[in-house]
Amino acid sequence: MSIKVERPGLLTSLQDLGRYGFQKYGVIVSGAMDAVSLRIANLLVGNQEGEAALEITLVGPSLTVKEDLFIAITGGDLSPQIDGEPVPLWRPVYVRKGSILSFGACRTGSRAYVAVSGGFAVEEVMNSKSTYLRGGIGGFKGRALKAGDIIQCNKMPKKSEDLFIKLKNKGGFHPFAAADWYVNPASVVNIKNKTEIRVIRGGEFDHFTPASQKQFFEQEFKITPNSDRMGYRIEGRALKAEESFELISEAVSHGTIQVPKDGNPIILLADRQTTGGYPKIAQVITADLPLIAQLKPGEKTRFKEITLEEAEQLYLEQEQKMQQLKMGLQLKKHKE
Amino acid sequence: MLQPISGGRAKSQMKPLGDSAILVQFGAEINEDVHLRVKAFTDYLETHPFAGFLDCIPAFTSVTVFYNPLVVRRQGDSGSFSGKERSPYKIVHSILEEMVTGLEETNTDKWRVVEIPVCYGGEFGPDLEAVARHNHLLPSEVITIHSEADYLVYMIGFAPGFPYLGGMSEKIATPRHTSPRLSIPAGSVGIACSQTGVYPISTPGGWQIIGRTPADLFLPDENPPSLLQSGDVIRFKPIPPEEYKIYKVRIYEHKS
Amino acid sequence: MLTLNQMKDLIKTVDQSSVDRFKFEAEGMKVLVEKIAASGQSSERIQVGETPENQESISAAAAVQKEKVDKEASSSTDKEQHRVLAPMVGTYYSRSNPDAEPFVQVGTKVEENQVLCVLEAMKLFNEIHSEVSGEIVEILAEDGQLIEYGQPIFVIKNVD
Repeated sequence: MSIKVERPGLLTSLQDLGRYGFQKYGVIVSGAMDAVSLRIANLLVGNQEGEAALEITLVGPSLTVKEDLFIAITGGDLSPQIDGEPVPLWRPVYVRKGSILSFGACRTGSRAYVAVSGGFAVEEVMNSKSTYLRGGIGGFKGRALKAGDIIQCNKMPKKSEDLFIKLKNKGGFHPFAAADWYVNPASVVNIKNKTEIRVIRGGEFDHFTPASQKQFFEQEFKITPNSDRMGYRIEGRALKAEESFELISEAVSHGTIQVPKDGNPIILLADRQTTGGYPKIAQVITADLPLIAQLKPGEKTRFKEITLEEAEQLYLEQEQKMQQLKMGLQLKKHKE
Repeated sequence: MLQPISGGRAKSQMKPLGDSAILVQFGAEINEDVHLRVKAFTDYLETHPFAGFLDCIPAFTSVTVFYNPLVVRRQGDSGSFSGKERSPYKIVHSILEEMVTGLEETNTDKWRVVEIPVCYGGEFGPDLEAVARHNHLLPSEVITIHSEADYLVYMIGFAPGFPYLGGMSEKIATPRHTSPRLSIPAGSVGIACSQTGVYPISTPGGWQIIGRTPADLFLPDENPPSLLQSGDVIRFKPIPPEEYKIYKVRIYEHKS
Repeated sequence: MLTLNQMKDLIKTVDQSSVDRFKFEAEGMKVLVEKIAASGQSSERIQVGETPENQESISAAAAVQKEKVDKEASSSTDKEQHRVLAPMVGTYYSRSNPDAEPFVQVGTKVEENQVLCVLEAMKLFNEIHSEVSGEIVEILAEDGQLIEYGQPIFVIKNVD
């Protein structure tokens, strides 16, 4: 089984849950920007939740499906269509051999994920299939997809076959068929809150001037076009740290908000460097990282402070919802 | 230059880096003693990982420990850890505190010396003359000063396999270029102020480039994927251009 | 870990499905829900354990008795009117998201296979399709209401 890339889109790369264990060698984590969407896409087609899937950014690719395929599309709504007909998100979908999966306008969010049942047949590099774009390793040939690429897919797991066949029969000569059930992302991620990202204080919060501390939570920040998988540069009234303060380089993580000398914060994301020397004013809570990943340049957001204990609780609740979803899917598989 | 850890150290401090990482601080300034504690703690943690441990990043004065709060909490619930603590951060905090206390016993008496061949000047080191001029030296003197020192790898960061080195002589310190070059080839050896380093992958940068090594510092197909590791001592060995293609990296294991 | 309510939901969902035995294992947690047919009645057993060695059995055998729903009888009480029954336990939603238009309202003419509502169970949203074409004359559920298996949700009048 394989798919052929007709047009690559803006930035389409293979990502899984990231490359851990090598940060001390300067090897960045990479991985999906919106890990929850990636996990759900995989679960819908019967994969392990951490399998690699295509991460699609703002302008989607055009892909020819070479053999019958079983897929799920999650994340932002980039108007996916198969042979010109809209495909629903967040569902298992049978795609008929020869059909073309393409994307249109970016309606909500900015990143979509396409998982195929069985996963993509690429080698793991340092225990991960994620593409490390600058390092040129992992994913498909260590780079974003290009026109003409042919990506092989693995055989689908046995447990997915029944649903696949059911959908295939339902589809008939139609280019695709979607299940009549789906996952609502709002039941796992706090989507309503996307303009109010929750954070906890950063390690150097106290080194910012009192006015800047206040401003950080009161003002609105705009996502600038200078935002990518490494980080989002955001703009508001400039924030100031104490003149004399110097930080010795130390680790940063997914969601760290650091403030360089110019006073405009950077939210560090999937392709962040392992360490940084700018003061950290705040840290986006893990449960809200999917919201950040779906913000696009030009959009505005605010930050709301919560405590570490609240952040931990929100994370644990989100994981519990994922657990329920996994069980629900398990039951579905038995029933199909 | 490296001594085993001796007693009488300041207490470490810990603080959260978000809801799934914790930063353990071993000192307020960059020095070899703090570095050795950072290294000893990292080594211990990696050989004795706790349930839920994901990754760690040793830096100049700190080690940041990444964990999965869900796994940590489950262990907490099942009573594998002492106490009835519910917060994953607090559970990890107490585990790490115990490790840090136990560190007193650990001595680091082994290190590696890595000899990196460098072809100085010419097309490989376009800024060698500028560095010499800035410091009122001859290019050959810059090479001698740069290659006779021992450098300690404090940490790896910025790019895969990129070493932050300590130990360069102030005699050859030179400021960065005011505007960075768009692409510096992999292997370039540079100077920025009183720091020296080697670029493992091609990247934009403002460092003064004095030479290039044919050695690969980033080894994605090997484990570890980096030629250098935190705690290594490196020496630069000048080689003539004709040896550039037949170089050899030499690694000596050192035991005291 | 499962909460008591989640466990109850799980028992209920399994009970009202055609599944007889459901085993789930993830990250050190193990759940087994099993229907045991005894003298014409079906009962359930749920097992929860942290590790395979340490399995506790919480018996809910007596608690749940399956209520037989006579689908054919209730779906054709009247030749003119068709009642749409819930095929599963779940929370009723009339629209795909809070900002969307409801799928149908009283008076809406529906085609066979048209989506009428969604029922949510365990984070999965299941579309309920119309089995007939006709006109919605009554909606028997409210947004957010928990619907039991076999509970009527819509009344559709046959228009032809």
